[in-house]
Amino acid sequence: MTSRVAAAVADRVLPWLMLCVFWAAFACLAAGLVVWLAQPTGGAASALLTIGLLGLLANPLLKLLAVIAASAGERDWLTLGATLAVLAILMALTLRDALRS
Amino acid sequence: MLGLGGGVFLVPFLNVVLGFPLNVASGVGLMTVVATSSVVARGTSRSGIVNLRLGMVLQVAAATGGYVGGTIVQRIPEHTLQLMFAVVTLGIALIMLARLERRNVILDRAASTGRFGGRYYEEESGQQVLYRTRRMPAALGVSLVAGSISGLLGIGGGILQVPALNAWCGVPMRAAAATSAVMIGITAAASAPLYYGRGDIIPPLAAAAVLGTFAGSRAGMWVAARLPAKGLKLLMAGVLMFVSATYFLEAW
Repeated sequence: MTSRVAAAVADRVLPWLMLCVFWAAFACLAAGLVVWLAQPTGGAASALLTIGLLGLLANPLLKLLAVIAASAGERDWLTLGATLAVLAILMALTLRDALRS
Repeated sequence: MLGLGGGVFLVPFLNVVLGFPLNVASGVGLMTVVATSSVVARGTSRSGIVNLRLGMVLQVAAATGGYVGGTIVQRIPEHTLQLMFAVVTLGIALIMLARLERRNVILDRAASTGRFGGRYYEEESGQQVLYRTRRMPAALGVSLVAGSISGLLGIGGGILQVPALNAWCGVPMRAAAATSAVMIGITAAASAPLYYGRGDIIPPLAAAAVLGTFAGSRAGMWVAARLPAKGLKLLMAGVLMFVSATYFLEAW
């Protein structure tokens, strides 16, 4: 049951979400750049650019979630374990760097 | 096209040619790596060319290298490290040139791909091809080293991983490059928030670079799918020689 839910999430929900975030991020960045060129000090440009950059950063993380869901659905324990390990190490790295700075 | 993320060229360009500080150039470089990765992940989602199982296992070694190796590598003088990196990249370039005619794909559809191999549709041969990954310990070792030095030299690990996977481990150039492009985006996305929080990512500059990368990545994917494997290897060897010469000059 759990693997069936994971497979459904990996097959339908996450690809759709990734597609939306992908195009929304690039649209926000393009619009933000145009607004910034017209009015460099405006708040709208800053907001659009920030949303675009955050959306862009969300893409690889969604990809990781998609791999986790897909490998759980396929009971591919090697890929699932490796992906979870990557996620844990990257979180530890980010935390370490954040504490250092 | 080569799975390097573009930072190899963009960071020196922003830093040396346009005069931006290195931390700003690196921050913007990270955003373009994420953009390339996202474009490749989208463009190849159905082709099967990205080998996620192999990529994730190698990423464990690379991320471990970044975590543990980074502190060890920091004790080696930068000059020595640059010289070592220059020698290694030159060596890999020469190996690639020596193996220009050798192809890693298996045309027999019934053959087994093994645990870390894969299959994908290749435009060059006009059919589905498959490959087996050999010498996994070598691939893990290269990933560990790549992860260790990439942070210190500000250069993506793909520059070592892609040619090593192709020359030593039996992974076709296209599969190695696409897998690397997706993987380095994940690492870059983990590092970028720190740069953003420190104010090293200037949003309009990053947006302009990302939009340029978006167009460039799509064009690169189109070209990579049509260019013969030999052409891709020649291009990779050329990039490796350029990087090697740059680090030789810096270390001198």
